[in-house]
Amino acid sequence: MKKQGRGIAGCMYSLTVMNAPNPCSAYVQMREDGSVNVQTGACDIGQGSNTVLAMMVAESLTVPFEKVSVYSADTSATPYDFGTLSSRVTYTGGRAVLAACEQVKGVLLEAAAKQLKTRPDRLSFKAGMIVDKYDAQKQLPVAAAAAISQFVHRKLPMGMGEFYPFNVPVDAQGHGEPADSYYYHATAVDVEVDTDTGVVEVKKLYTAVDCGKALNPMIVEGQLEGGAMQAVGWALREDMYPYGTGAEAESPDFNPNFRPINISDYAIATTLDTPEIHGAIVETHEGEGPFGAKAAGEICANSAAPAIVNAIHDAVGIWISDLPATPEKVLKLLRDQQS
Amino acid sequence: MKLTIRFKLNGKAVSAAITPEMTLLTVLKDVMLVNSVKRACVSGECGACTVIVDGKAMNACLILAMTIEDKNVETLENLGAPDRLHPLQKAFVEMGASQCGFCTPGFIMAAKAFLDENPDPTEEQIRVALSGNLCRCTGYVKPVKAVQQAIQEMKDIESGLTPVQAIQGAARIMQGHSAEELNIQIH
Amino acid sequence: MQYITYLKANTVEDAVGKLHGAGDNAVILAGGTDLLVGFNSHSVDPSTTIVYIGEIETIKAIKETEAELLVGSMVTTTQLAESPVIGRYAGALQQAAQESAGPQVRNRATIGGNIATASPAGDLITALYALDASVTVVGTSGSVRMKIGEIITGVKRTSLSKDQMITEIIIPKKSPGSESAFEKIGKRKAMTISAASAACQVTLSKDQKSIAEIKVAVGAAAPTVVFAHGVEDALRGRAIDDQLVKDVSKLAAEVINPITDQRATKWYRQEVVPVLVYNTIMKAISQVQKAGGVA
Repeated sequence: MKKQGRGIAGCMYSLTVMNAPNPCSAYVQMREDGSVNVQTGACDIGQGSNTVLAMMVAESLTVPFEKVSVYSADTSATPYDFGTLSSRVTYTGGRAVLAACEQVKGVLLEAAAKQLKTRPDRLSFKAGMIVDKYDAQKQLPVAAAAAISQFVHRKLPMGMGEFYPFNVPVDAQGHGEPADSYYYHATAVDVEVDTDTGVVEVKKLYTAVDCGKALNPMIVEGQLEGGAMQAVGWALREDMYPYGTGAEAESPDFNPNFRPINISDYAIATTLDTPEIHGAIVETHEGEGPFGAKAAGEICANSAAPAIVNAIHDAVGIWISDLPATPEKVLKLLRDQQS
Repeated sequence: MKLTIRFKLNGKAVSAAITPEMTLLTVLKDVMLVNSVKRACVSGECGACTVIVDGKAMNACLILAMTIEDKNVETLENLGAPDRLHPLQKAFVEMGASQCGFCTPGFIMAAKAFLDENPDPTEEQIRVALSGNLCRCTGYVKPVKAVQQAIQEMKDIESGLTPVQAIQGAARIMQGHSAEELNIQIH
Repeated sequence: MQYITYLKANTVEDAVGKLHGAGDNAVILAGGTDLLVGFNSHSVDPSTTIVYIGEIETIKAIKETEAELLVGSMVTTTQLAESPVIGRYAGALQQAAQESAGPQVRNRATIGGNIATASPAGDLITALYALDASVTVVGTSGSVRMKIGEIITGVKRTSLSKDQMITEIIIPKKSPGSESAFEKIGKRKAMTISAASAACQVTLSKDQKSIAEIKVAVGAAAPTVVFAHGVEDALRGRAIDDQLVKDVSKLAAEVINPITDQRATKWYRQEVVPVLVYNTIMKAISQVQKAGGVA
């Protein structure tokens, strides 16, 4: 018999690495044609940080997105970054890149002020132009300012930015502020439990993240959907366990090993195992974040498993306390419940 | 003992000096230096090495290269280039259907082989056609939508465009082009 | 450096001759979806002689006679999954084909290879047992026809000698009022190796009220596919009754001899096999009834 259940769960997660220094750095240089070269150790492993960092630079220097090139994560060529972990790349990398952009802007404003015979503090960036706030006649394309600075005033428009996320390591008494900021996520699922086989199927999944400002909503959606599907896998199918038990494990020759060793048995979801996924972006503004952004990374995979466990309980009244909720475990608990 | 096999790779007659135990994956990747074909599970489980052999999607890792003699092998390289993307490639770019990108060539080749035979499938049929390709990043939502968008675009191309649509299409392609040229060159 | 020997056979006779010539080192290559996994994971013995049968045109088609389906051993799983003839006369085989592996493997894997590999988890085999299939085997000593159960002798073991190859699978066309069905359970819905599977063929009486004949096969729960004769005997001649089918399906647990492995425990296989048996029987019955009156 198939029984339906619904479950929800929510969670918070630290933004940036907890209790440890975890800086990011970046070099930004504007070329004489107005194109921008960004170098940073911040590593894009597919989450889209190169895109988002390029967007930030384009926005900061008011140049077209297409003019920005990001060279990232080459340890022999790019400046330091702590790594792609703890949902820190957009936030930390963004702050580092923007800090470098501020220096570039300073150089550009100096050159523009000399060219326009005004003061740098009267100038501002506006859609690819540097404009005198009090005299609109005085304006200069950003690219021209870059060329003039480089060739006339002998000053390259470049900057080096770094950002150390704030944290106060938690002491033995538990006092401290572990991470710079925090972000939030919630999942709601509808599941169907086959009481004859123990198979649990997630039919519908709603996933929502508070990511601060969603700098690129399509990428955030991708994170939501991918995170949800990973979490469904961890909740229902994917298991890693030490191999060898009993006498075997006590043998001096025992070599602890893990199973499964191949992806036919470590069964990640296929297209046919995917529920109907609905992602929702809950935008807030993080004052410390780049353009108000926080993150949309690991947290997207965090609350689905507890939501599924809750939904299984709602459907058939059993509590799974050991993931994944394989058909076998579900069926055993159902049998125990009957007896 | 080196043997010579002759086959068609992306429409061109080619030959390669190989040893008899080599798989098609090894020949494509290490002998012919075809970059799009990915080596991952090497056991037919993930679809990252999907190529089209005589019209059918297959895992290159499970094909003994000797058996490919006189056959027609198609890889992603045959579909399009950055300045003239195939509708499937364009849709994958535009829809964000590729995150880390490792599975993407396999997905596109599996989708192409399927669409060549079934130009107007349901979502369920698309999902079945892509069920041999694993992706860890996307949750499959955007890849499936990208295939649907590509189908729509291929239909538009087939049905012929009005001048206005053609200009709109060209503008879309130009946007895709400049985004591709780019913005983000990863080195 | 020594390499394996690769030989391409153009006809069945050519293949048999080459197999005979290669002696104990001979290995038949059909679709390669099992063989190549082995090649990729450990180094291949250089004395191996591969005889490739994939270009033999005579064994690539699905044909029908008045009473039988004749399936060439190089017919791919995709062909089985898409063939209307297979759908009409061997539903269980078509369902097994559709649910096996993924599209890329289905395009390559063959029915002959599935039998010769003799994995207890082979989905096509379970269906072939229920469909009462026979196999034509050709070797230097001639051609023999045997039941599928006679060719598979154990886990990955067959009665085939080194110079024999499977050329054809013969499936009796189902009689009117009869349908077959297949069901499996695994870790996911595609690309999954069965933790357990069941297939059955049910023939209803003329009035469609009782079960005239039934065959039930269970896969991945013993060294080979096994028939659940107890279930068959308890249902043959009985009126259709959901509760009765459910109760007697439990008898299937008695004939199986499952192991605990990475796909499921012995306990789970014992629990779930009766469910699969029940589901397939009810599915087959409802298909007969849906097909309407007896022809």
